[in-house]
Amino acid sequence: MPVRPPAQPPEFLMNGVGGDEVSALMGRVIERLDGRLDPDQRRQLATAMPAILWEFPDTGARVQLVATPAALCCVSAGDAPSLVVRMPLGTLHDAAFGRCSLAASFLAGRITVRGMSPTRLREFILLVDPLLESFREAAREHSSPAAPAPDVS
Amino acid sequence: MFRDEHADPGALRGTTVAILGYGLLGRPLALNLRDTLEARVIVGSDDDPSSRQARDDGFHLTALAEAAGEADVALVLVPDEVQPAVLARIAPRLRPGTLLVFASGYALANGLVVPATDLDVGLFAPRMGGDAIRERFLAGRGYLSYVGVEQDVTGTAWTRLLAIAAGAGSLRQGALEMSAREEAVLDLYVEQACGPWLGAAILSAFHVGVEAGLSPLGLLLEMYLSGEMSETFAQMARDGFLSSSRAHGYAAAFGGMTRTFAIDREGMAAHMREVLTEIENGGFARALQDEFEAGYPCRAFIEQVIGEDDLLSRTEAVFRAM
Repeated sequence: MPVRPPAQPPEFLMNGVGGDEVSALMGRVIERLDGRLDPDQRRQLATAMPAILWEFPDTGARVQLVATPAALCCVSAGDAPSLVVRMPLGTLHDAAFGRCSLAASFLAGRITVRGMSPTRLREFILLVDPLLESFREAAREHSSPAAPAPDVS
Repeated sequence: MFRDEHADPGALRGTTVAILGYGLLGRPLALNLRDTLEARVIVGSDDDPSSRQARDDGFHLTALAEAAGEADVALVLVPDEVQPAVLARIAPRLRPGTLLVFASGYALANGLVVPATDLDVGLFAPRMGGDAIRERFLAGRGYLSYVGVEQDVTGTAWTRLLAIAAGAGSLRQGALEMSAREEAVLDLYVEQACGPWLGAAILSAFHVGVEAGLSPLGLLLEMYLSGEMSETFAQMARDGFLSSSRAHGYAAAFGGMTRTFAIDREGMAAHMREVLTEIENGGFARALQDEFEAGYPCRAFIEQVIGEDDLLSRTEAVFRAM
Protein backbone atom coordinates (compact mmCIF):
# COMPACT_ATOMS: atom_id res chain seq x y z
CA MET A 1 0.00 0.00 0.00
CA PRO A 2 2.29 2.81 -1.16
CA VAL A 3 1.51 6.36 -0.08
CA ARG A 4 -0.10 8.21 -2.98
CA PRO A 5 1.26 11.50 -4.22
CA PRO A 6 -0.61 14.41 -2.64
CA ALA A 7 -3.66 15.48 -4.60
CA GLN A 8 -6.43 17.96 -4.08
CA PRO A 9 -9.27 16.08 -2.39
CA PRO A 10 -12.78 16.59 -3.71
CA GLU A 11 -14.67 19.26 -1.82
CA PHE A 12 -17.70 17.21 -0.92
CA LEU A 13 -15.63 14.78 1.11
CA MET A 14 -14.03 17.61 2.99
CA ASN A 15 -17.40 18.97 4.02
CA GLY A 16 -19.06 15.77 5.17
CA VAL A 17 -21.30 13.49 3.16
CA GLY A 18 -24.41 11.41 3.84
CA GLY A 19 -24.82 7.66 3.79
CA ASP A 20 -26.77 7.56 0.50
CA GLU A 21 -24.19 9.64 -1.24
CA VAL A 22 -21.42 7.35 0.03
CA SER A 23 -23.31 4.28 -1.17
CA ALA A 24 -23.65 5.83 -4.63
CA LEU A 25 -19.98 6.75 -4.65
CA MET A 26 -18.93 3.26 -3.59
CA GLY A 27 -21.09 1.81 -6.35
CA ARG A 28 -18.99 3.73 -8.86
CA VAL A 29 -15.79 2.72 -7.03
CA ILE A 30 -16.73 -0.92 -7.39
CA GLU A 31 -17.62 -0.49 -11.09
CA ARG A 32 -14.18 0.95 -11.71
CA LEU A 33 -12.54 -1.71 -9.55
CA ASP A 34 -14.25 -4.38 -11.65
CA GLY A 35 -12.61 -2.90 -14.73
CA ARG A 36 -9.19 -3.04 -13.10
CA LEU A 37 -9.19 -6.70 -12.10
CA ASP A 38 -8.20 -9.34 -14.60
CA PRO A 39 -10.22 -12.57 -14.81
CA ASP A 40 -7.73 -14.43 -12.58
CA GLN A 41 -7.90 -11.79 -9.85
CA ARG A 42 -11.70 -11.74 -10.03
CA ARG A 43 -11.84 -15.51 -9.72
CA GLN A 44 -9.43 -15.49 -6.76
CA LEU A 45 -11.48 -12.83 -5.04
CA ALA A 46 -14.75 -14.66 -5.69
CA THR A 47 -13.27 -17.82 -4.17
CA ALA A 48 -11.60 -16.25 -1.13
CA MET A 49 -14.04 -13.45 -0.30
CA PRO A 50 -17.26 -13.56 -2.30
CA ALA A 51 -18.87 -10.82 -0.20
CA ILE A 52 -17.09 -7.93 1.50
CA LEU A 53 -19.13 -5.55 3.61
CA TRP A 54 -17.72 -2.03 4.00
CA GLU A 55 -18.92 -0.08 7.00
CA PHE A 56 -18.17 3.65 7.21
CA PRO A 57 -19.12 4.57 10.78
CA ASP A 58 -18.57 8.31 10.21
CA THR A 59 -21.31 8.38 7.56
CA GLY A 60 -23.55 5.47 8.57
CA ALA A 61 -23.08 3.90 5.11
CA ARG A 62 -22.84 0.13 4.67
CA VAL A 63 -21.99 -1.17 1.22
CA GLN A 64 -21.40 -4.74 0.16
CA LEU A 65 -19.13 -5.82 -2.65
CA VAL A 66 -20.22 -9.10 -4.18
CA ALA A 67 -17.58 -10.88 -6.24
CA THR A 68 -18.34 -13.56 -8.80
CA PRO A 69 -15.93 -14.91 -11.41
CA ALA A 70 -17.85 -12.87 -14.01
CA ALA A 71 -18.10 -9.48 -12.32
CA LEU A 72 -18.05 -7.42 -9.17
CA CYS A 73 -21.16 -5.64 -8.11
CA CYS A 74 -22.30 -3.44 -5.29
CA VAL A 75 -25.38 -4.16 -3.18
CA SER A 76 -26.70 -2.58 -0.03
CA ALA A 77 -25.62 -4.58 3.00
CA GLY A 78 -26.52 -8.26 2.60
CA ASP A 79 -26.23 -11.44 4.64
CA ALA A 80 -23.15 -13.33 5.75
CA PRO A 81 -20.26 -11.35 4.30
CA SER A 82 -16.91 -13.12 4.16
CA LEU A 83 -15.20 -10.00 5.52
CA VAL A 84 -16.40 -6.86 7.24
CA VAL A 85 -14.14 -3.87 6.67
CA ARG A 86 -14.86 -1.07 9.13
CA MET A 87 -13.14 2.26 8.58
CA PRO A 88 -14.09 5.92 8.51
CA LEU A 89 -14.70 7.23 5.00
CA GLY A 90 -12.12 9.87 5.82
CA THR A 91 -9.48 7.17 6.26
CA LEU A 92 -10.18 5.68 2.84
CA HIS A 93 -10.23 9.14 1.36
CA ASP A 94 -6.93 10.13 3.01
CA ALA A 95 -5.24 6.94 1.83
CA ALA A 96 -6.53 7.40 -1.74
CA PHE A 97 -5.35 11.02 -1.87
CA GLY A 98 -1.96 10.38 -0.28
CA ARG A 99 -2.60 12.05 3.05
CA CYS A 100 -1.70 8.96 5.08
CA SER A 101 -1.01 5.31 4.43
CA LEU A 102 -3.43 2.52 5.19
CA ALA A 103 -0.63 0.92 7.20
CA ALA A 104 -0.56 3.92 9.55
CA SER A 105 -4.35 3.85 9.86
CA PHE A 106 -4.23 0.14 10.64
CA LEU A 107 -1.63 0.72 13.37
CA ALA A 108 -3.75 3.53 14.80
CA GLY A 109 -6.75 1.21 15.01
CA ARG A 110 -8.82 3.07 12.42
CA ILE A 111 -9.28 -0.03 10.24
CA THR A 112 -10.60 -3.38 11.36
CA VAL A 113 -11.25 -6.33 9.07
CA ARG A 114 -13.49 -8.88 10.74
CA GLY A 115 -13.07 -12.33 9.23
CA MET A 116 -9.51 -11.63 8.06
CA SER A 117 -7.26 -14.67 8.25
CA PRO A 118 -3.98 -15.80 6.70
CA THR A 119 -6.02 -17.64 4.07
CA ARG A 120 -7.44 -14.34 2.78
CA LEU A 121 -4.68 -11.78 3.23
CA ARG A 122 -3.22 -12.22 -0.24
CA GLU A 123 -6.48 -11.58 -2.10
CA PHE A 124 -7.26 -8.65 0.18
CA ILE A 125 -3.88 -7.01 -0.45
CA LEU A 126 -4.30 -7.48 -4.21
CA LEU A 127 -7.47 -5.44 -3.93
CA VAL A 128 -5.98 -2.47 -2.10
CA ASP A 129 -4.15 -0.53 -4.82
CA PRO A 130 -6.89 -0.92 -7.46
CA LEU A 131 -9.47 0.06 -4.85
CA LEU A 132 -7.60 3.25 -3.91
CA GLU A 133 -7.17 4.19 -7.56
CA SER A 134 -10.84 3.51 -8.22
CA PHE A 135 -11.87 5.55 -5.21
CA ARG A 136 -9.73 8.47 -6.26
CA GLU A 137 -11.25 8.53 -9.73
CA ALA A 138 -14.80 8.05 -8.55
CA ALA A 139 -14.44 10.78 -5.92
CA ARG A 140 -13.12 13.24 -8.50
CA GLU A 141 -15.88 12.32 -10.90
CA HIS A 142 -18.48 12.68 -8.15
CA SER A 143 -17.27 16.15 -7.27
CA SER A 144 -17.06 17.28 -10.93
CA PRO A 145 -19.70 15.25 -12.79
CA ALA A 146 -19.34 17.41 -15.89
CA ALA A 147 -15.67 16.57 -16.25
CA PRO A 148 -15.11 12.96 -15.28
CA ALA A 149 -11.59 11.80 -14.65
CA PRO A 150 -10.04 10.03 -17.61
CA ASP A 151 -10.37 6.26 -17.61
CA VAL A 152 -6.93 4.88 -16.93
CA SER A 153 -7.95 1.25 -16.70
CA MET B 1 11.55 -33.12 32.32
CA PHE B 2 14.85 -34.16 30.73
CA ARG B 3 17.95 -32.58 32.24
CA ASP B 4 21.71 -32.90 31.72
CA GLU B 5 21.90 -36.03 33.84
CA HIS B 6 19.61 -37.86 31.39
CA ALA B 7 21.90 -37.23 28.41
CA ASP B 8 25.11 -38.87 27.28
CA PRO B 9 27.10 -36.19 25.42
CA GLY B 10 29.58 -38.89 24.40
CA ALA B 11 26.90 -40.57 22.32
CA LEU B 12 27.90 -38.37 19.38
CA ARG B 13 31.68 -38.78 19.76
CA GLY B 14 33.35 -39.04 16.36
CA THR B 15 30.18 -38.37 14.39
CA THR B 16 29.31 -35.55 12.02
CA VAL B 17 26.56 -33.13 13.02
CA ALA B 18 25.28 -30.95 10.16
CA ILE B 19 23.55 -27.65 10.83
CA LEU B 20 21.30 -27.05 7.82
CA GLY B 21 20.62 -23.31 7.74
CA TYR B 22 22.68 -20.70 9.56
CA GLY B 23 20.06 -18.14 10.55
CA LEU B 24 18.31 -17.14 13.76
CA LEU B 25 18.54 -20.63 15.29
CA GLY B 26 21.25 -22.20 13.19
CA ARG B 27 24.08 -19.94 14.29
CA PRO B 28 23.66 -20.14 18.08
CA LEU B 29 23.00 -23.88 18.00
CA ALA B 30 26.01 -24.50 15.78
CA LEU B 31 28.27 -22.46 18.06
CA ASN B 32 26.98 -24.18 21.21
CA LEU B 33 27.28 -27.66 19.74
CA ARG B 34 30.81 -27.00 18.49
CA ASP B 35 31.79 -25.87 21.98
CA THR B 36 30.47 -28.99 23.70
CA LEU B 37 30.31 -32.03 21.46
CA GLU B 38 33.22 -34.26 20.62
CA ALA B 39 31.82 -34.34 17.12
CA ARG B 40 32.55 -32.65 13.82
CA VAL B 41 30.03 -29.83 13.46
CA ILE B 42 29.59 -28.62 9.88
CA VAL B 43 27.24 -26.08 8.32
CA GLY B 44 25.15 -26.45 5.19
CA SER B 45 23.78 -23.27 3.74
CA ASP B 46 22.93 -21.96 0.28
CA ASP B 47 22.12 -18.50 1.56
CA ASP B 48 24.94 -16.03 0.87
CA PRO B 49 24.78 -13.70 3.88
CA SER B 50 24.48 -16.55 6.36
CA SER B 51 27.14 -18.56 4.51
CA ARG B 52 29.54 -15.67 4.94
CA GLN B 53 28.70 -15.55 8.64
CA ALA B 54 29.31 -19.29 9.02
CA ARG B 55 32.68 -18.98 7.29
CA ASP B 56 33.60 -16.02 9.50
CA ASP B 57 32.69 -18.13 12.52
CA GLY B 58 35.18 -20.74 11.33
CA PHE B 59 32.83 -23.51 10.24
CA HIS B 60 33.40 -25.99 7.45
CA LEU B 61 30.71 -24.83 5.03
CA THR B 62 29.12 -26.73 2.15
CA ALA B 63 25.88 -26.64 0.16
CA LEU B 64 22.83 -27.89 2.05
CA ALA B 65 22.55 -31.22 0.25
CA GLU B 66 26.25 -31.93 0.56
CA ALA B 67 26.22 -31.28 4.32
CA ALA B 68 23.17 -33.50 4.68
CA GLY B 69 25.02 -36.29 2.88
CA GLU B 70 27.90 -36.16 5.35
CA ALA B 71 25.68 -36.07 8.44
CA ASP B 72 25.08 -38.65 11.13
CA VAL B 73 22.80 -36.08 12.70
CA ALA B 74 21.26 -33.30 10.57
CA LEU B 75 19.48 -30.37 12.20
CA VAL B 76 16.92 -28.77 9.87
CA LEU B 77 17.05 -25.08 10.78
CA VAL B 78 15.63 -23.37 7.72
CA PRO B 79 12.33 -21.43 7.94
CA ASP B 80 9.17 -23.50 8.34
CA GLU B 81 7.69 -22.80 4.92
CA VAL B 82 10.99 -23.53 3.16
CA GLN B 83 11.44 -26.97 4.75
CA PRO B 84 9.44 -29.01 2.20
CA ALA B 85 11.56 -27.69 -0.68
CA VAL B 86 14.80 -28.19 1.27
CA LEU B 87 13.85 -31.70 2.34
CA ALA B 88 13.04 -32.65 -1.25
CA ARG B 89 16.56 -31.58 -2.22
CA ILE B 90 18.47 -33.22 0.62
CA ALA B 91 16.45 -36.44 0.92
CA PRO B 92 18.38 -38.36 -1.75
CA ARG B 93 21.65 -37.51 0.02
CA LEU B 94 20.68 -38.61 3.54
CA ARG B 95 22.21 -41.92 4.60
CA PRO B 96 20.12 -44.63 6.29
CA GLY B 97 20.18 -44.24 10.07
CA THR B 98 20.82 -40.50 9.98
CA LEU B 99 18.97 -38.67 12.74
CA LEU B 100 17.01 -35.82 11.18
CA VAL B 101 16.22 -33.22 13.85
CA PHE B 102 13.61 -30.50 13.37
CA ALA B 103 13.50 -27.39 15.53
CA SER B 104 9.84 -26.88 14.70
CA GLY B 105 7.11 -29.45 14.26
CA TYR B 106 5.35 -27.44 11.53
CA ALA B 107 6.38 -29.37 8.42
CA LEU B 108 6.05 -32.81 10.01
CA ALA B 109 2.73 -32.02 11.68
CA ASN B 110 1.16 -30.75 8.48
CA GLY B 111 2.41 -33.65 6.37
CA LEU B 112 4.56 -31.28 4.30
CA VAL B 113 7.58 -33.50 4.72
CA VAL B 114 7.52 -37.27 5.04
CA PRO B 115 11.01 -38.50 5.94
CA ALA B 116 12.17 -41.83 4.52
CA THR B 117 11.45 -44.80 6.71
CA ASP B 118 15.15 -45.65 7.12
CA LEU B 119 15.85 -42.40 9.00
CA ASP B 120 15.53 -41.51 12.66
CA VAL B 121 13.43 -38.38 13.12
CA GLY B 122 13.37 -36.15 16.19
CA LEU B 123 12.22 -32.78 17.45
CA PHE B 124 14.40 -30.39 19.42
CA ALA B 125 12.49 -27.13 19.68
CA PRO B 126 14.09 -24.43 21.88
CA ARG B 127 11.61 -22.09 23.58
CA MET B 128 14.03 -19.20 23.33
CA GLY B 129 15.11 -16.69 20.70
CA GLY B 130 18.34 -17.23 18.81
CA ASP B 131 20.61 -14.68 20.50
CA ALA B 132 19.40 -15.67 23.95
CA ILE B 133 20.34 -19.30 23.24
CA ARG B 134 23.97 -18.33 22.83
CA GLU B 135 23.96 -15.74 25.64
CA ARG B 136 22.47 -18.17 28.14
CA PHE B 137 24.89 -20.88 27.07
CA LEU B 138 27.89 -18.60 27.58
CA ALA B 139 26.52 -17.53 30.96
CA GLY B 140 26.25 -21.16 32.03
CA ARG B 141 22.46 -21.06 32.07
CA GLY B 142 20.07 -23.29 30.17
CA TYR B 143 16.80 -22.71 28.38
CA LEU B 144 13.65 -24.75 28.01
CA SER B 145 12.93 -26.82 24.95
CA TYR B 146 10.63 -29.54 23.67
CA VAL B 147 12.07 -32.86 22.56
CA GLY B 148 10.41 -35.82 20.90
CA VAL B 149 11.17 -38.79 18.73
CA GLU B 150 8.90 -39.28 15.73
CA GLN B 151 10.75 -42.20 14.17
CA ASP B 152 13.39 -44.51 15.67
CA VAL B 153 14.74 -47.12 13.28
CA THR B 154 18.20 -47.41 14.81
CA GLY B 155 17.11 -47.64 18.44
CA THR B 156 19.45 -44.73 19.23
CA ALA B 157 17.21 -41.79 18.36
CA TRP B 158 16.50 -40.74 21.95
CA THR B 159 20.13 -41.07 23.04
CA ARG B 160 21.36 -38.98 20.12
CA LEU B 161 18.55 -36.43 20.43
CA LEU B 162 19.21 -35.83 24.13
CA ALA B 163 22.93 -35.50 23.39
CA ILE B 164 22.03 -32.73 20.93
CA ALA B 165 19.71 -31.02 23.44
CA ALA B 166 22.40 -31.22 26.14
CA GLY B 167 25.16 -30.08 23.82
CA ALA B 168 23.07 -27.14 22.68
CA GLY B 169 22.79 -26.05 26.31
CA SER B 170 19.09 -26.61 26.84
CA LEU B 171 19.18 -29.41 29.40
CA ARG B 172 20.83 -27.22 32.03
CA GLN B 173 17.27 -25.94 32.46
CA GLY B 174 15.28 -28.80 30.95
CA ALA B 175 13.35 -30.26 28.04
CA LEU B 176 9.79 -31.47 28.01
CA GLU B 177 8.72 -34.39 25.83
CA MET B 178 6.36 -33.34 23.06
CA SER B 179 5.26 -34.56 19.65
CA ALA B 180 5.84 -32.54 16.51
CA ARG B 181 2.09 -32.10 16.13
CA GLU B 182 1.62 -30.70 19.65
CA GLU B 183 4.60 -28.38 19.28
CA ALA B 184 3.40 -27.01 15.95
CA VAL B 185 -0.13 -26.34 17.17
CA LEU B 186 1.02 -24.78 20.46
CA ASP B 187 3.60 -22.55 18.81
CA LEU B 188 1.30 -21.25 16.08
CA TYR B 189 -1.69 -20.94 18.41
CA VAL B 190 0.09 -18.75 20.95
CA GLU B 191 1.68 -16.64 18.20
CA GLN B 192 -1.64 -16.10 16.46
CA ALA B 193 -4.16 -16.10 19.32
CA CYS B 194 -2.31 -14.36 22.13
CA GLY B 195 0.22 -12.28 20.17
CA PRO B 196 -2.27 -10.17 18.19
CA TRP B 197 -4.27 -9.26 21.31
CA LEU B 198 -1.11 -8.18 23.13
CA GLY B 199 0.04 -6.20 20.10
CA ALA B 200 -3.36 -4.60 19.56
CA ALA B 201 -3.61 -3.71 23.26
CA ILE B 202 -0.30 -1.86 23.14
CA LEU B 203 -1.14 -0.07 19.87
CA SER B 204 -4.61 0.94 21.04
CA ALA B 205 -3.45 2.09 24.47
CA PHE B 206 -0.79 4.20 22.79
CA HIS B 207 -3.07 5.87 20.25
CA VAL B 208 -5.94 6.44 22.67
CA GLY B 209 -3.53 7.93 25.21
CA VAL B 210 -1.93 10.21 22.64
CA GLU B 211 -5.34 11.40 21.43
CA ALA B 212 -6.14 12.29 25.05
CA GLY B 213 -2.96 14.34 25.35
CA LEU B 214 -0.75 11.90 27.26
CA SER B 215 2.97 11.92 26.54
CA PRO B 216 3.85 9.47 23.72
CA LEU B 217 7.18 8.71 25.32
CA GLY B 218 5.60 8.30 28.74
CA LEU B 219 3.10 5.82 27.29
CA LEU B 220 5.80 3.69 25.67
CA LEU B 221 7.96 3.81 28.81
CA GLU B 222 5.01 2.54 30.86
CA MET B 223 4.26 -0.23 28.40
CA TYR B 224 7.66 -1.60 27.43
CA LEU B 225 10.52 0.83 26.98
CA SER B 226 11.43 0.92 30.67
CA GLY B 227 11.71 -2.87 30.81
CA GLU B 228 9.18 -3.01 33.66
CA MET B 229 6.78 -5.04 31.52
CA SER B 230 9.41 -7.61 30.56
CA GLU B 231 10.34 -7.83 34.25
CA THR B 232 6.66 -8.46 34.97
CA PHE B 233 6.65 -11.35 32.50
CA ALA B 234 9.81 -12.74 34.12
CA GLN B 235 8.05 -12.41 37.47
CA MET B 236 5.03 -14.33 36.14
CA ALA B 237 7.34 -17.18 35.14
CA ARG B 238 9.08 -17.09 38.51
CA ASP B 239 6.26 -16.45 40.98
CA GLY B 240 3.13 -17.36 39.06
CA PHE B 241 0.84 -15.47 36.69
CA LEU B 242 -1.72 -14.42 39.32
CA SER B 243 0.61 -14.17 42.33
CA SER B 244 2.91 -11.80 40.50
CA SER B 245 0.19 -9.14 40.55
CA ARG B 246 0.88 -8.74 44.30
CA ALA B 247 4.25 -7.27 43.40
CA HIS B 248 2.62 -4.23 41.83
CA GLY B 249 0.65 -2.96 44.82
CA TYR B 250 -3.04 -2.96 45.64
CA ALA B 251 -3.92 -0.11 43.28
CA ALA B 252 -2.68 -2.15 40.31
CA ALA B 253 -4.61 -5.27 41.34
CA PHE B 254 -7.77 -3.28 42.17
CA GLY B 255 -7.73 -1.34 38.90
CA GLY B 256 -6.50 -4.14 36.68
CA MET B 257 -8.92 -6.77 37.90
CA THR B 258 -11.99 -4.55 37.76
CA ARG B 259 -11.14 -3.49 34.21
CA THR B 260 -10.61 -7.11 33.16
CA PHE B 261 -14.25 -7.88 34.08
CA ALA B 262 -15.40 -5.38 31.45
CA ILE B 263 -13.48 -6.96 28.58
CA ASP B 264 -15.49 -9.04 26.11
CA ARG B 265 -13.78 -12.34 26.89
CA GLU B 266 -16.43 -14.26 25.01
CA GLY B 267 -15.61 -12.40 21.80
CA MET B 268 -11.92 -12.86 22.46
CA ALA B 269 -12.39 -16.58 23.05
CA ALA B 270 -14.47 -16.95 19.87
CA HIS B 271 -11.68 -15.35 17.86
CA MET B 272 -9.11 -17.62 19.48
CA ARG B 273 -11.19 -20.71 18.69
CA GLU B 274 -11.33 -19.69 15.02
CA VAL B 275 -7.56 -19.27 15.00
CA LEU B 276 -7.03 -22.67 16.61
CA THR B 277 -9.40 -24.39 14.19
CA GLU B 278 -7.56 -22.95 11.18
CA ILE B 279 -4.23 -24.12 12.60
CA GLU B 280 -5.48 -27.60 13.49
CA ASN B 281 -7.23 -28.22 10.18
CA GLY B 282 -4.15 -27.23 8.19
CA GLY B 283 -5.68 -24.03 6.78
CA PHE B 284 -2.88 -21.86 8.10
CA ALA B 285 -0.19 -24.17 6.73
CA ARG B 286 -1.82 -24.16 3.29
CA ALA B 287 -1.93 -20.35 3.33
CA LEU B 288 1.72 -20.09 4.38
CA GLN B 289 2.85 -22.60 1.74
CA ASP B 290 0.83 -20.73 -0.92
CA GLU B 291 2.49 -17.52 0.20
CA PHE B 292 5.95 -19.11 -0.11
CA GLU B 293 5.25 -20.74 -3.46
CA ALA B 294 3.86 -17.48 -4.90
CA GLY B 295 7.04 -15.61 -3.93
CA TYR B 296 5.76 -13.99 -0.70
CA PRO B 297 3.20 -11.56 -2.21
CA CYS B 298 2.11 -10.37 1.26
CA ARG B 299 5.63 -9.61 2.44
CA ALA B 300 5.72 -6.06 1.07
CA PHE B 301 2.55 -5.19 2.97
CA ILE B 302 3.85 -6.75 6.19
CA GLU B 303 7.19 -4.99 5.80
CA GLN B 304 5.39 -1.72 5.17
CA VAL B 305 3.42 -2.03 8.39
CA ILE B 306 6.53 -3.01 10.34
CA GLY B 307 8.57 -0.18 8.81
CA GLU B 308 5.83 2.44 9.01
CA ASP B 309 7.22 5.77 10.19
CA ASP B 310 4.37 6.44 12.58
CA LEU B 311 4.37 8.22 15.91
CA LEU B 312 5.11 5.07 17.88
CA SER B 313 8.30 4.29 15.92
CA ARG B 314 9.37 7.93 15.95
CA THR B 315 8.89 8.08 19.72
CA GLU B 316 11.05 4.97 20.15
CA ALA B 317 13.75 6.61 18.01
CA VAL B 318 13.67 9.71 20.21
CA PHE B 319 14.11 7.53 23.29
CA ARG B 320 17.03 5.61 21.78
CA ALA B 321 18.76 8.87 20.90
CA MET B 322 18.55 10.15 24.50
